[in-house]
Amino acid sequence: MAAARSLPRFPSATCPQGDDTLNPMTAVAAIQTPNLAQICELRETVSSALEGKEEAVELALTAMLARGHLLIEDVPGVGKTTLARALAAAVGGELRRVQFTSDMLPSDIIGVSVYDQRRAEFVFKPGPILANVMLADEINRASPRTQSALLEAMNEGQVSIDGQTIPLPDPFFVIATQNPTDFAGTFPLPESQLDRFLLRLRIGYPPAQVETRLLLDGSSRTRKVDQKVLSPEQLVALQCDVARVTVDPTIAGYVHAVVHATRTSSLLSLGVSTRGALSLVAAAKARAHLRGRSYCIADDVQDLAVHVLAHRVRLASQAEGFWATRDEHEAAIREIVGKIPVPI
Amino acid sequence: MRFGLIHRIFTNVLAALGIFALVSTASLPVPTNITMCVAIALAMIAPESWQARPTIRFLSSLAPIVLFAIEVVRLLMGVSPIDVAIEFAGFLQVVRVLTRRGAAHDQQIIVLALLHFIAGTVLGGSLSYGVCFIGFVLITPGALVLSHLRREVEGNYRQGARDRTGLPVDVPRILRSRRVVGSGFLGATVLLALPMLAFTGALFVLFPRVGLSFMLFNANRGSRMIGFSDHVDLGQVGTLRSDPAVALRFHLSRLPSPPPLVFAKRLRGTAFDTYDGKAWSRSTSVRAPLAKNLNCVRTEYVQADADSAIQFDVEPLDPPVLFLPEGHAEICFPAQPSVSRSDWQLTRVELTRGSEDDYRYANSDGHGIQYRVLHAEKPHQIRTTIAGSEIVRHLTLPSNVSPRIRELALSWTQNASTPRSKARLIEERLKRDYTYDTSTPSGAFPDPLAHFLFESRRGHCEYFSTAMAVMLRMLDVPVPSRNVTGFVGGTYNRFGGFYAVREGDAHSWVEGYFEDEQGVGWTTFDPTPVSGAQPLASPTGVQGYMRDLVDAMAMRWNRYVVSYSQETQASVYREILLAFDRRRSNATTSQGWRTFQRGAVVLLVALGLVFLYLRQRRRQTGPDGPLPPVRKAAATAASLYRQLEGALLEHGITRPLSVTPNQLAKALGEESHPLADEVNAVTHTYERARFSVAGVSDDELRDAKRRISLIRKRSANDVRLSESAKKQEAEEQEGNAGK
Amino acid sequence: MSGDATPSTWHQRLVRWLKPPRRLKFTREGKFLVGTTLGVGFAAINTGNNLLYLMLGLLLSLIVLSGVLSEQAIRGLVVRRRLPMRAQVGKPHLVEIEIFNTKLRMPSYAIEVEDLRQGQPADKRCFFLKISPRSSQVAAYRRTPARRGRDRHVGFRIATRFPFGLFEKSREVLAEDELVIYPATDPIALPTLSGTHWYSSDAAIRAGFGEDVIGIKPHRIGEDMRDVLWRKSAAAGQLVIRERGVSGRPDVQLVLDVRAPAVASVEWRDAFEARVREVASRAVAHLRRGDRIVLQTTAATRFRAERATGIDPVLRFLALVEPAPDDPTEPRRSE
Repeated sequence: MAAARSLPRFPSATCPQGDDTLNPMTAVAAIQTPNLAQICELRETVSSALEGKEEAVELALTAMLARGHLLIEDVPGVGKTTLARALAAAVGGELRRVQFTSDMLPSDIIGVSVYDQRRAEFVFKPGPILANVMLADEINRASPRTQSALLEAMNEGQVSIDGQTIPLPDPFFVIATQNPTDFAGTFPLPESQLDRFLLRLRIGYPPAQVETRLLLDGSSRTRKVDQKVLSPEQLVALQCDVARVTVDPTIAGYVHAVVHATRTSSLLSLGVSTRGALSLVAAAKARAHLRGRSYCIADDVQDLAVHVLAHRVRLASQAEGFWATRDEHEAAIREIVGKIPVPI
Repeated sequence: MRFGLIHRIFTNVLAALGIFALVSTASLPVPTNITMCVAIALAMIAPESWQARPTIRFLSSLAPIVLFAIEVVRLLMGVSPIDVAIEFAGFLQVVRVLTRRGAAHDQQIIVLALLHFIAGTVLGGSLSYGVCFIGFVLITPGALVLSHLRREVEGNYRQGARDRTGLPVDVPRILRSRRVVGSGFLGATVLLALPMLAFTGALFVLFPRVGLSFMLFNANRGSRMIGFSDHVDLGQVGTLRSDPAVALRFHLSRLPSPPPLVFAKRLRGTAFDTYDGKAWSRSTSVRAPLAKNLNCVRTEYVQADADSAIQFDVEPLDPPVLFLPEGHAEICFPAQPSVSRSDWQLTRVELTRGSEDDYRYANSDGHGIQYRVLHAEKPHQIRTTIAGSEIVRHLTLPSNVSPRIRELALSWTQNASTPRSKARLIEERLKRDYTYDTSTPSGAFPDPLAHFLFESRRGHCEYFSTAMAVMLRMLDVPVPSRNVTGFVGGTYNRFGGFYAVREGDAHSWVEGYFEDEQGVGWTTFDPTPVSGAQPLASPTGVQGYMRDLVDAMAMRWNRYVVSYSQETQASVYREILLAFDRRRSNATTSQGWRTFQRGAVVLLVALGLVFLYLRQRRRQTGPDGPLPPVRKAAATAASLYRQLEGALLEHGITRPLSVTPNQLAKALGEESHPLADEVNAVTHTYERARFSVAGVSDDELRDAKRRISLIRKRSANDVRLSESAKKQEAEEQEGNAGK
Repeated sequence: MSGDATPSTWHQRLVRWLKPPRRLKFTREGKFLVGTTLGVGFAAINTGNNLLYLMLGLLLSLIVLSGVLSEQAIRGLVVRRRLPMRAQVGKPHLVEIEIFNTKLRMPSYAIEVEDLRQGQPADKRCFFLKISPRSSQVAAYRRTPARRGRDRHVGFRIATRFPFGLFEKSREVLAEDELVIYPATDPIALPTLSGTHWYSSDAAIRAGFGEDVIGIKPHRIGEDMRDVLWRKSAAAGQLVIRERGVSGRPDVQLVLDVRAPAVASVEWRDAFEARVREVASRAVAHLRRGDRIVLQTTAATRFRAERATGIDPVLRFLALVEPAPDDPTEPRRSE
């Protein structure tokens, strides 16, 4: 318990009361123009760590501001860890990196109550999950039991060990990575678990000129990684601002239309859950805020739909025993979104 | 409306029009006509569910054969083949309508209706055919389209087809659907009739009339012949005084203002000299052809009044007689221009003059005739002596004539001295003492004249004229007399500006021959009481209005459609060419033409503006109906963006439905479109106005609107620019060539 | 409009607008109507009956109207094809055809779209009764491929008999697509023995770092402390750990003979296809069972697959495998 207490603690996630519903009369007062300078700095800092990947950086920040978790799916060596490190540093949080392996157990993540033979009592040894930013590398290498222990903790914001309930720190942000090409000895995450990630993204190789420059001065990529932009408290405040971004009823209707289409489409055998729809709205708010707006537009929904929804659906062909690739998922979502009229 | 229902209505209307065209043009017996109409009506209202019944299906295969057999038998029994064919065609349609199943049968119905219409043309088309034709043009596109669609539906969705969601697509579901065709579709198909009518009209006017006449149908089998008859028989029921069918029309060149509604003018048709105790006939049929080296033929040697022409337009009738007013001097036929513009062709009408001064023409085409008569209102007495043998013809009496009539005639005339005054006395007595009655019983008696004079004392015009003609011949100094038939009419038509003479206006009067100081020749007497010697009283009010309208339309239909001929066509060409020549020679002269031109331009511009306004409104409200309920500011913003879309459409830029405004703006920016900046700015204003709670200021809105109008104007400028660039280029090329 | 070359100058555009490349065919009804029109025209000229001229005008205007309206119906349509993710010989699959009406106001009625495939008769068509303006419709046709390999779709023929069913007007658009048809597979009950190498072994569980717990045992020095069962240890007074097991299975090797004789006869070809089908069936069966397979052709190509990769890559590999001439100078590689 002592170790747990040593972690940075923040006020709970309740935001200052502001009527952030859609009543325009009262909402005007509650609306604040986004703190553009702060956001720009945050974005700049993280981008400088991962050059040429502004989109991936924006998506990562989106997930963080929306209080969601991030799943990065890509081949090794494209900067997954760098991104996570930069994010953690930028918000002044603590980063714990866990390399998942097949012999990993739930206790390796959550922590374990160890019997102290000398004192004849159980001592809680906290796992790496009790940090502000946790990087779960190659999450699909762990056994399903370990995976589910992590994901439950992510969802509930607390861990339970031996009857004790320990709240997770705030802000709490998990970045999990997964290697899509390596299948040997892995346990792919089922949709129900994937549902807990707000976003899934792919970093991809850097653009040619960036890569060339990296080759010339190899150390530049990690140079500014440790720069701190926000304090964890400021991040929480930012997250509260994001929650107050306005969503027009027509935009909500648009989200619903998209989600509904995934449930009725013949391409998919499993559509998006209500949690998925909520995640899409939350992500759209965060993106709007990141782009300096206090309101969501259809672009937010459309641009994020693939990243937010693709890992939450099951393709119809999967039911026949085929193993659908990620590209097929994304193409399906793209096609479904491409058929929904945008509200004007 | 449901697709199936609309389709059924259209097909039914078409079938009914076909039957009606057939019935109205063919001269079938009335019971057959009524049976056919009732049968088709019953077949139409038969419920659709019957079509699956085995009896009906059995009927559908058997009935045509039975029908065919019946008609063949009737043909062998000596019924006219045309009647048989028409009956067969009509009842075949009835069977088809009753037993139809599916689109193929509906198409057969349409084909049958088309054939009915074609048959109607051969049988001769009255105005009712014209009305049916217009209806046909209105309905045909819709009926054809619907039948075609239904056929496609049945062909494509027949065997267990399924749509994407796995639901079976069956024909009844589509037939019940209200989404396939809407009111817009119906309106559009009916509007299609306008270009069709225009095209048909143009083709009709301009298609060269060659007139090869390889095939000669027995056209106009008397069905449209009017009922003026060539004999007078007291034993038969005379011409009904109530038949309102128009027999002829005349225009007066000097029409008093206001035109009198009734213009009682006697129009002489033919005359009879021999009376056999019951009926009148002609003792001689000698006819002298009239010199026809001119368009006009002189008839009586009187001096016609200036501007006294009466233009006649006679329906086809048997016998082909010309009706002439008293004191006619000259008959002229319309001058026919030939196709070449210089020489005028002579008329083709061949005239003959009969022994009783009746004028007939050769009835070649069965289209009736048009002619102009010059006459004198108050002619001087014409000196026309007739030879002795001629006099005898007009004095003979039948042997069985009752002596009481002679006594009566003598008793009436004992106070007069001259033959002429005696004739006047007889005329007056008949007019005064006898009653006009079309339903006299006298015809049934062996001596109808005696019965009329002594028993019933009532009769129609033929009794009066016969009585007087016979009495004139019985006087102590017999007066040669003849019984004249013709029309007395007519009534004014306010739409056509003509006087219509109806079949009910047929009349009969007397001519007596005198040689005295007042003149030598025939004098007209009309012994019929005034109530009978008048044109039919025209109905008033709505009925009269309608009748005038129909008469006027029928006149135009006959003149401009049915009797449209090579000559008319040539004159139309000629008019067009002349008008063209006039315009080219002096474009400045005609004030009216210029006004017309200006009016047309103004009208076109106004129509264009209305069209643009409607387009604009449509764009603003959006094609998908009213917008969902949103904030007012949001609605303003949405309308702003729709305006932008409208402006962009003029540049050929459209936004697919699933593309967001931002993406559109970005895409334009990426291809560095000249309008990208404006579009971008407007899009941003729109977004803030639409989704932000804070909204935008009025200035920003105004700015956005200004940008939209800028985008609209850009198009005109661009065109102008590209044109001037092209011109410059052409000039450069010319310069190069010069070098 | 997809597939239509875009003309440059305005007058080229005008000519194209006035005379678009269309094909016209009479239907039975069309022949009847034209025959009737000719008959009426003949009769009209011969008799000079004006009503026949009127009728002739009507019939001709119907024909003209039909041409104008069918052109309107066929204009402004964009067709897209959506091929299924997978297609297999002998198994029916759906090809979706989406048609978009870009016209602003006019709906298009009774449109028939034929999917043109290279070297094959155009027998697959979709019918659209009504496509509302500015909206799209999707229809699908079912097709059962008979041959494995690449299936090339080259374009569409858009045809309509609208409005009166008198003429069939059609135009063709280019739209290329490719679908890889997987070889057919048969259900196979494993284990079986045939010409392929097969090292049979049951799914033996042995001690290791697997997921399954076999039992518990006392802790020895050097063993992983994380497996210690603390509650049991506390009760037993000594450290007790879980014993874990792991299941292991060797790879399955499948060999496909692709050596073709110099002159490949029809019989040889059929036999080759049958071999491909058998190998595909086996590969699928093994993968379903969870085996790792190695596919080896005599043309020196190797292909590895396991359950997690799914059966797609294997089937795709087998779909495109071609008999190689006996001289293996140029070994083929799958992607």
